[in-house]
Amino acid sequence: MTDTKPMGAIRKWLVVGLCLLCGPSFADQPAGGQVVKDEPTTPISGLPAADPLAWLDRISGASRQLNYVGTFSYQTGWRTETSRIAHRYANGVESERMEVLDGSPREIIRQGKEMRCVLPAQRTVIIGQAGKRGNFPGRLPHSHAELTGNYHIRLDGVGRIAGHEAQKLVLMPRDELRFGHVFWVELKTGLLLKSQMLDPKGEVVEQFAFSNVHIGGKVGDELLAPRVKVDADWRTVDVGGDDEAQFKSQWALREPLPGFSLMTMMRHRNGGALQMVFSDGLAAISIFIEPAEAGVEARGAYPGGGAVNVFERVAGGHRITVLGEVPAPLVQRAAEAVEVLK
Amino acid sequence: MKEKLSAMLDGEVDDATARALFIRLKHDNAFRDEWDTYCMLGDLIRGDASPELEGFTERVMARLENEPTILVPSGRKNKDKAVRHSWRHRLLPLVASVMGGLAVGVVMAVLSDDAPAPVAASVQSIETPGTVPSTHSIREGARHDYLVAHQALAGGPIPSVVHYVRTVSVPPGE
Repeated sequence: MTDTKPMGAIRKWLVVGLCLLCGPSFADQPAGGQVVKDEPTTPISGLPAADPLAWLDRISGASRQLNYVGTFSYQTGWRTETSRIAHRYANGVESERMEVLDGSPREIIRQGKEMRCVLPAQRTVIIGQAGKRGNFPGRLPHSHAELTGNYHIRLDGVGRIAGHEAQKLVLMPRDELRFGHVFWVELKTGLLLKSQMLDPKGEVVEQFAFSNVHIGGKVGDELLAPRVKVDADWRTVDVGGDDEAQFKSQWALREPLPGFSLMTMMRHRNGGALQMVFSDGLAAISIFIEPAEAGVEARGAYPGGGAVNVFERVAGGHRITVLGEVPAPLVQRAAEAVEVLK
Repeated sequence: MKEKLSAMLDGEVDDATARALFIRLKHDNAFRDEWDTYCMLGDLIRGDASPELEGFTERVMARLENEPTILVPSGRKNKDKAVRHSWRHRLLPLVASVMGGLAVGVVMAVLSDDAPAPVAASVQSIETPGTVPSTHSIREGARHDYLVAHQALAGGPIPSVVHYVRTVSVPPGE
């Protein structure tokens, strides 16, 4: 054990060395090493607004309607991962490819509504429907007033992220049932360059931030094509489903979740779970209900990764799983509130 | 002494200690070998390494990445190799998945006093891996699938596929 510290130093050097080796390639060129043709960027909704809510609208439009290629980091706790993303909007259809650059090369491909998560280490492909309900803020409550009822929203000056000027937008929760958000939005286009989620103490729970991004221009097919080879024997999981009419459901919440409204209900395929999605305009939680295995009385809280918290319990022979990017007490509260309608 | 050598290379020792180390380097061949190794690593990081060491850093990092986490009590090290091999293959993916969950759990616990600790069943599965109920790994997988379904419907202000990073960041078995 006497050589523990030197080995630690060697590892530290190697990590630092790798960072030095990799750094310049991220900083100097668009992700993937592809040269993106320079074209003027297109503002999504005219001049920057002084109204914070108008900025939220701009974020939504920009993330869907802009072409961009970049590298971003995802940080939660001490864990940081770098990913490369390319997004194209053409003829009303969004195409995206994201690849995690650290560890096994996990890949997410989106073509229109179809989304595929490829997990090579697990030899698994997860198929889903991206943005089935339309993106933020399409899923916002009908009035912005409801959003402002849950958050204090304000602009907080202009900063610089990944070489772009960005408007800082702060949304602080009015209670401890939701996380705070800080957004940095590119001034001309409205693209979200950096996003932080804050817990009730103001600590960063998770963060997404572009380290470099090229906005506008042409995004070629080669940047969007799948690269991970999927073998025939890999496990395929379909997480898609069909809408479930609310009146047909035998499940409901005993008491409402403050500031949250039911947005949609879905029945997953092949006799899968019923999913109910509640949102406060920014944060969302999903409640999954499915028959429990015989004899199971599980109950407990689990971390779901990043800002996601999970709570499970068994009631009426069904397993109730609640998860979402919200503080742990809220997922537990939601799980406790689920009941069968008489 | 190796610790002092490491500290000296990091510029963290005083002059007297450095002088003592240099004197020993003159007379101790084994110690000088250590010094050479450290200097070689320094060259490698600065990009001055000899051609035959090209890719060395990547190879070492790959080895570190693939290094199994040793969770067997030391008393079990002398057991039959084949048995240990099969044990690892059967349980490591599960244990890795639980450890991933626990790591995030610790972060959440540090960040928020309100965050509940991971349930006892998860902790137990690390201490006594032989008794892990198989349904636990199934539940890990189910929760992962739920997360993907949640991301698809819940969306958010972040560009659409970006929030799937949460889903693939710590997948089961990783």
